[in-house]
This record gives sequence, structure tokens and C-alpha cells, in this order.
Amino acid sequence: MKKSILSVLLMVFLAALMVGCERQQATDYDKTIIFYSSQGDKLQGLTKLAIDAFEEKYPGWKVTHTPQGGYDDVRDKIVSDLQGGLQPDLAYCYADHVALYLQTGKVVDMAKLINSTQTVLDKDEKEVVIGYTAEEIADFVPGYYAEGKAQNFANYKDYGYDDDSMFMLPFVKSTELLYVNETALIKAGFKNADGSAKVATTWDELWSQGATLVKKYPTATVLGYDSEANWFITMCQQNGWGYTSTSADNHYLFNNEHTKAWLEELAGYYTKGYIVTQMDYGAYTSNLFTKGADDGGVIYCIGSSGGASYQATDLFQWGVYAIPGSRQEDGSINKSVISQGPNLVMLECGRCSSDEAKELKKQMTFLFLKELLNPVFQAQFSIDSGYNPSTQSTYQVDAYVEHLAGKTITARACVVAKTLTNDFFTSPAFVGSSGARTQVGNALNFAVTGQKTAAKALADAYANCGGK
Amino acid sequence: MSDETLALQNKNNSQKPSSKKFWDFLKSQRGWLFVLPAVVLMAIFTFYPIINAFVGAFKENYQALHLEGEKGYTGWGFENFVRVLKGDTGTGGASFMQCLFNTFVFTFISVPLSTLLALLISVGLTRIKVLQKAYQTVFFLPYLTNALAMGAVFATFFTIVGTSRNVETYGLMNNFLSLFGIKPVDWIGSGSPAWHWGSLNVPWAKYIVAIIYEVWSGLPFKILILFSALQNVNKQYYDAAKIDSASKSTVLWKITAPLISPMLSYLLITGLMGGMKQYSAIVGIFGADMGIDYDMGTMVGYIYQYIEKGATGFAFAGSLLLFAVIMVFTGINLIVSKKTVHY
Amino acid sequence: MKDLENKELLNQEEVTEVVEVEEAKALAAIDLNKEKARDKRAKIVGAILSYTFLTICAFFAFLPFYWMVISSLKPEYEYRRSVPTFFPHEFYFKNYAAVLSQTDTGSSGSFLQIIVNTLVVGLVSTSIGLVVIVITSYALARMEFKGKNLLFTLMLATMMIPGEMFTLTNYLTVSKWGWNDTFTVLILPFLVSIYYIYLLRNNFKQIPNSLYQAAKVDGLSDAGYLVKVMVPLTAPTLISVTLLKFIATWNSYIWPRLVNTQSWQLITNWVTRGFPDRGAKLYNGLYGTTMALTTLRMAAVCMVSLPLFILFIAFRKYIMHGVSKSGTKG
Repeated sequence: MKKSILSVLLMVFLAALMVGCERQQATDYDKTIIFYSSQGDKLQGLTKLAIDAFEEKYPGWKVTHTPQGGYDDVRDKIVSDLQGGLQPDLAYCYADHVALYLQTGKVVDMAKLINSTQTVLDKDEKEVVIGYTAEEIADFVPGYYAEGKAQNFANYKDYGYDDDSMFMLPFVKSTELLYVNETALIKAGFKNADGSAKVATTWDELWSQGATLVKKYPTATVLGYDSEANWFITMCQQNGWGYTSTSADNHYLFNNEHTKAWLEELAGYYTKGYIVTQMDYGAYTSNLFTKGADDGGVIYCIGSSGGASYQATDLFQWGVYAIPGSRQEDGSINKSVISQGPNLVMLECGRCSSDEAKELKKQMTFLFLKELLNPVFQAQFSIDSGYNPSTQSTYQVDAYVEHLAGKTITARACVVAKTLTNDFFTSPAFVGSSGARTQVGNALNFAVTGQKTAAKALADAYANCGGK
Repeated sequence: MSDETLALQNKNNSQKPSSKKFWDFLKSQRGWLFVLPAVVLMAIFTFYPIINAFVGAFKENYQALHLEGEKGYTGWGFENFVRVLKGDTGTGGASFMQCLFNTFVFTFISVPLSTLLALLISVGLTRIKVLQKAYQTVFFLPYLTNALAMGAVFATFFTIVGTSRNVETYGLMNNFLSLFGIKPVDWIGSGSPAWHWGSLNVPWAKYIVAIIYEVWSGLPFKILILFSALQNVNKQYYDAAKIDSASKSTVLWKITAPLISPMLSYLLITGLMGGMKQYSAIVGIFGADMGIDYDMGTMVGYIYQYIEKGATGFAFAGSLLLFAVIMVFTGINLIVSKKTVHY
Repeated sequence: MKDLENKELLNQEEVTEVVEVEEAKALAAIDLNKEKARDKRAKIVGAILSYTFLTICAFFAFLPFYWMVISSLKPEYEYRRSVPTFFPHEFYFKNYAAVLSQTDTGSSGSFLQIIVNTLVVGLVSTSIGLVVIVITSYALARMEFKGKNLLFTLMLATMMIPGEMFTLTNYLTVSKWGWNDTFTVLILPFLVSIYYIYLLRNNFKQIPNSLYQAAKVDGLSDAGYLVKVMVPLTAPTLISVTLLKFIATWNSYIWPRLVNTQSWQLITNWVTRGFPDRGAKLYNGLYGTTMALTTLRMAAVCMVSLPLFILFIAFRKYIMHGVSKSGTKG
């Protein structure tokens, strides 16, 4: 009896060991491109197609795609990997992540690859040029492309890069959009002469509609804003209040009289029931938008264009618009809107067997990156995700043209987002810029919900960033 | 045979026993063979880290991410400690003083509270016969749970779902309080009430939630220990007390408590130690950011936060400070318990 | 005269004393009856008080478990009622199906993968850990070698140091060795548990020396003695240690999160992720795709807690024994 129990235990133990070994199987590291992203189920399936195409075209090469949860998870994992030389060859990134990676000098300067005229052979022995042509570079949406240039980063020269260095390429992009419950607006009497809904185009207009709306819909909230931090940063940009700068003397400009006055104003609107934010609600406010005005939802919702599918509903007539702007002293309206979405960064191979292998892997990784930026792939990816493609020629791909002509909320979001290209802005990237983002988001939450006065919330945020 | 060869022979003779001696010595030391795996593992994962923490804490501007071939730090000194204590790490995130304060509040309220409650429950348990085992089992259950999983359950008791204009559910706690006419409180949400003392946040509603959890999760172990201690207390003492016609509460405080005071002091010490190292329960209830911007951060949470940020020097300094705090409390405990505990 | 008086007085006193004693005896008899009655009453009152107090406490101790189970069985819209239901009006087992149907590519990772990870890590680290603990404690208890006491003191001294001080260096070490995303990294650093070594060493020491001498006479080697005599004699402690070590793996959260990515983590990490995409599928869009539903999370929490309860019911004695000895969760 005892013996049989012992032998069973031993067998379980051995089986466990074997499973363990099986999972730790080594792969040919020199010829395996590791790619980290934050893609969910659906998009992974799509990326798989690009990977299959690449692997077929270049026999012997493999791509391992490892999704890591969210953007922050990708960053944390890479920070850990860099310490052991296990970093991926290609990864999703935001500019402030790259600012962090730059400290190791392991970020690949893509300028050299972009301009490379070298070739490699594909499976049909055909020569493929590694770099991009001038037209291909011009095909990128200029604002997106410029984001990856060295000048946008602090201290790059300390880490061995020069002015012409290029740290990242845009993958797909999103911005913030105003999703509107038009039915609710019309019912409350906000309509134009032609009977269409009168949608607020400035913040002042939006707040002036508030009183009527909360009275008409006793459980509804006027505006749901998904990202507190984006709201703060966008207002700073629209009004020129100052948020952060790359200058090392003082990175943090956001603690000023203008922002204070604005937060106080918002706190007033919050008590009137005009505002709900993600932190306040505990989930994306798109969940509130789709509920409708009579059921405790929101009437206006500002969320990512990449998340348009979450705003879809048949309950009422919806519309997609640019977010409200701020009226300037000269009477014009500044409608600046934040540009977000993943970029792609390449990192040096940490454990390649030789320098040649390292160089070759770099080139092949870049070719895989080009697969991801190929207009046909970009079109499909944009259709499925709701993000905007980063190259202009994607807008000519048939499937995408057809998609944009559709009536779905994702299609509408893409069309509206495309018209905003000139209003896009990004904020400076430096070590600590993501900290500033978190801090202003928290400050807004504290001030609006009345936990702290606006002045205290801002001062605390400033101190927490390390400002003096 | 010359003298020389004789001497050589002698030498050889004397060598034989010495090599045998060496062999014997080795044989007598074969215990090392048994402890070798543990020693190797500890050398790598325990002893080296301790030394490294003491060294690393004094490396200024110590960054995990740095250029290859460079040291990753700028010099030696106390700067890490100074900046950690001042909250001037320049990276955002948790402040050490806030974390220290939180940890103290949770520990010094919840540990005595749960010890007292455990004592009362244990006394109650000794006075009943029927269903004693069943009650004992129920009280032990919280021990088996996972802090993160149960943290999530506790969070549901206190979470308000919905917007301020359309609340879907106020949570069980608020429902309960409304029976007494108390208005709903946003216990753990973003609008949770808080006091502010200088740069310190005192999110009292969240504190209450954390303390309730700590008391609940601390009970099983304490009841287990106290109950068995109480059962071992000699019956004679009680009989003597009966003759002196002492009241029940007198018996409890004058006789029982001193008799099990070694156990009480043991529980307080282990409770304090455990309290100083709180982390996962807070994450379970308040999420990975430990409230909003680490306002519910603990000392251990502080350390992990800087590990994840790659600010190695601050993490080391933080862990040494935690060590120092624990040592201080152990010392105080030893002194106090020597004076008051009856053996 | 005075003497006489005194004597008389004394006599009187004696008399009264005798009378008093007799009176006291009689009184005592009455008192005894009274006391018995009073005692009985007090006992009943005490028992009622005790039971009431214990029941109230037990109610609150048990409430979270009850709430966890019934929440996992409710549909989300029932959970969100403004007046909570203490018994599900509608049993909704789909919550469990939804959580179990997570695939490897989903935002939370597949249940199967995570349970395999946890079992492999748990079994391997418990079994190897137990061997390490047993041989180390044996050497420390029974064998003589140079530096033994120093080693033992050093080991005990490290127990004073919070584990968090090791974590960062260990994290740097395993990162440097490229052990991220392996099982090794979850097993190796936790094989040695000093407290259990200490516990077992004391257990071994209590075994009388004569047994050892007898075994030597019978020609048993040290290893043979350890396996054939010591281990069976300390079986209860060994079982406790095994169980607690396994429970520790089951509950570990911080280290796996730090060193491994999603599909290499353990079950507790999985529970904390929430299952937003499942919820949207389950309720056909009633709740947004990004919303983590409490009912689904509770279903996951139940599934993680259940094995612990089964272990507890099966090995109640050993677990309580081990816990009362160590006071740690591993």
C-alpha cells in the first residue's frame, strides 16, 4: 500500500518534471524574432497572419509574438528583460517607454535601417531591399513619423545617439473623440434648424447645456471622460497653459494659476452632476454611454478612437465628433487633440552568438516590422481595431475605403479621426513623463471629487513628480 | 641502511596515519554533505542578497537600467536614504512616510484589536462543549484563504457601483449602515473621504476597510494559539478563584490573561511582524496601485514599486529601512515582554 | 482576677467559635445548595452568552465566504441590485463556464495553463524542498561537523530579516541568468525554508539517542536510519510541512508577478486579472467589453479557494498542528 502510494507520487513528480522541461525547450535564438505587444485575442489572430507570411517568405526565420497584457506590462517586462539581456527584438512602445530604454543604449537606431540599401534573399532567391525609399518615408503621416525622431527625447546624446537617430516608427494610432447621444440632445431641445442635434463644439457650450440636460434626465450625467490625464493635458495644450517640457531644468509646468482655476470650475460641475470620469466610475465610461440617458448613462462621452467599438449601441441615434475646443482670446477655437497609439521600437539582440548574427537579426526584424506597416495589413488591422493606420496609402486600400464608407461606429470614428490630423499633438518624452501623466490624472480626480482643493491637488502632484 | 633512509622511512610511517587521519576527518565532516544543498541555495538566495542589499543601498543614483560597461551608479553615500525619507525620489509614486504611516496605522490598530477579539472568542470556545469543534473550524477558515482573492471579496462589500447620479448598488456595508440611518460612504472608490495633514493623506474610510480585513484575517491563527493555551491552563487556578468568589471578568483579566501572557506576547510580536510586511491584502482590496496614487501604500509595497521602476538604490534603501523598523519593534517587544510577561 | 476574666472571655470566645463553626457548616450546606442553583443558572446564562457571542462572530467570519459563493452563482444584473439578495434568485453557472473557457490568448490567460503551472511548481518545489529540509535538519540534529553551530545560528539569524530584502537581489540575479519565464525561477529560491528546518531539527532531537545506537548496532547507515526510523517517527510534522509548503505555492503572488509573464505565472495571479472580455460575451453586450464583472471574479475566487478547503477537510489535524507550530503561511 505504502509502496504504491510512494510510486504514484514519484510518477507524478517525474511527470511534472517532464512537463517543466518540455516548456523550457530552447529555440534557435539567433533566428527567432521576439515581439512584445499588448494585443488582445482578436488582434493577435490578425498579427498571426503577418507572422505566417513573413515566416513563409524567409524560411528558417521564426517570429515569437508574446502579448504582455497592457502597455505598462510591456514596459515593466522589458525593463526586467534588459537587466538580463533577454529583451525582445521588437515591441509596442510609447515615447516615454523609449526614454527609459534609451538609458541602456540598447535601442536600435532605426535611421540606419531605414536608409539601408543592402539586400537579403527571400525564399525565391529574390533580392529584397532592407530600407525604405524616399516615397515610402513620405507615405507615413508626417506627424506620426516625426514622433520617433531623436530630438523629441531628452539626453539622447549621453547614450551614444546623434541628431539623425530614429528610435521608433508609428504602428497604428488613435486619438480622442466625442461620442454623442444625439437622440437625448434633440429630446432636450438642443437641435439645429434642420432638426439635427446641436452638439457642443466648445467646452463653454457643453457646460451651458448641462443644466437643461440634468433636469431633463434625472439619472444621467452630462459628460463621461475616460482619461483624466488626457483631459488635463489636452486642456493645457488647447489653452497654452503649459504641461511639461523636455528642458532638464524644469520638466513640470502644470502647477499654475490657469490649471488651478480650471480644476475649481470642474469641481463645481461635478457637484452638479455634469461629470463622471473613469476613476470615479471604476470602469470605462463607454459602459455608461451605451446605457442611454434614461438609464443612468452619459450623454456625451470622450474616449479613444481605438475603443470606438465599445461605444456601439442600437438604443439611440449616436454621432461621432471632434472633442470640444477652447475659445481663444482672439475668438478662434483651439481644437488640439491628443495623438496616442502604439509605436514600434527595436532593441538590440542581447544574447546573439556573434556580431554578424546580431546584425542579421536586426535587419530581419526590420523586414518583419515592414510587414506590419504594409498598407494591406494596416488596412485590415485598422478595420478590426478601430485604430487609424500610420501610412497614407492605407486609405487607398479597397477594403479600407469600403470600411470607411460603412455606417458602423468604428468606421465613423476612423473618418472623424482622420479629419483631425492637423490638430494632433504629443507631449514631450523624458524619464518621468509617464509619472507626470499619472499625477495630473490623480490631481484632476482629487480636485473634482472634492477630496483636495485644486491648489493642494496640483501642489501634491507637482511634489510627487519630484518638482521643487 | 643510512640514517637518511631511516629518516625517510620514519617519515613515510608517520605519513600513513596522517592521511588516514585526514580521511577520518573528512568522514567526520560528512554532515556537510547533508547540508550542502541548503547551504548552496542559501548562499545564493539568502546570504548574498543580504550583503548586496547593504552594499546597494549606499550606491548613489543606482539604476538597474544603465549603459553596458558602466557601473550604473555615481558614487557612495547616504543619498538614497535621505531621498527616500524626504520623499524626494523624483520618480513619482509612493512616498515613504505615507507608507510608513499607513503601515503603522494598520498594524497598531488591527493587531491589538484582533488579539483581543481572538481572546474573547477563545474564552467563549472553552466555555462550550456542544459544537465546539464546528465553531473552531469556522473560525479557522479565513486562514486558508488567499489574501488577494479574499481582498477582492471584501472590496465588493464596500464598492459603490454606478455614477453619482445613478447608483446601481451601494455595497453590503452601506446597506447595513443605512439600517441605522447612516448615509452611504464611498469606502474605497475614487471619492473616498480623506483628511490631509501636511503631505500626509489620511484616507480614513479606506483605513477602516483595511483594518476590518486585517482583523478578520488575523483571527484564525490567534484563536488557534489562544484556544490551545487556554485549554492548557491548570484547572486548579480556576477552582481557587471560585473559592475566592471572583467574578468572571476578574477571572479573565486577573488570572487567565496573565497565565497565557506568554502566548499573548508571542501573538503580539508575530502580529506586529506580519503587520509590518503587509502588502498583498492591500493589493487585493485596493488594486495594484494601492489606492489612488499609493495613498494606501505599505512599506513592502514601497519596495516593490521601486523594484518595478528600476530605481534599484531606492528599493534597497527602502528594504533596509523596513529591516530597521522591524528590528526596533522586536527590541521594544523583547524588553517590554520581559518586564510584564509571567512565566 | 484579670486573668480569670481573661480566661472566661477566652472560653466564651471558644464557645462562640464552636457555635459559629457549626452555624457556618449548616449555612454552608444551604449555601452549597444555593450555590449549585446559582451555578447552574450562571452556567446557563454563560452558555447562552457564549453561544450568542460565538455565533455572531462566526457569522461575520463566515460571511465573506458565503458572499463569495452566492455572488459567483448570481448573474451580474442580480448582483447589482440596489437591495442585495442573500440567496440567488437565479442560479447562473455560466459564470464558471465563462471563466473556465478563457483561452491562452485571452486577456487573462487560460485556466488550464495556469493550473498546470501551479501544480507543476507546487509538486516539484514541495517534494524537492521536503528532501532538502529533511536532510538538512537531520545533519543539524544528529551529526557532528565543524561549524555546525555557526551555520545553525546564521540560519536562525536570517529569519529576523524581512524576505523583501532578498527579493530585489534575487530578482536581479535571476534576470541576469535569464531565468525569467521558467518554472525554475519559481522553484529554486524557495526550496529552503529555515523555519521548517528548525522545527524538524527539534523534532529529530527529541527522538532518544538509544534508538540511534540500536540502529548502529543493526548496521544501519546514517541515511538508512534517517529514512527507516526518523522520517516515520516525525511523519505528522512532515505532513504538516508538506501541506503548508504546497499551500504557500498556491497562494504565491508577488514573486511570480515580478519574474514571469502572464502565461508563466501562477493561479493567484490569474485570479486578480478579472475577465472583462468574457463578461461582454456572456451577457451579449449588456455590459461593456472593458468592464470587469464581479460575479466572474467571484467564480474564479471560488475555484481557487475550493482546493484549499478540500485539503483542509482532509488534513485538518495536520494543517492546524503545523500552523500552531509555525505561525507562517510558508
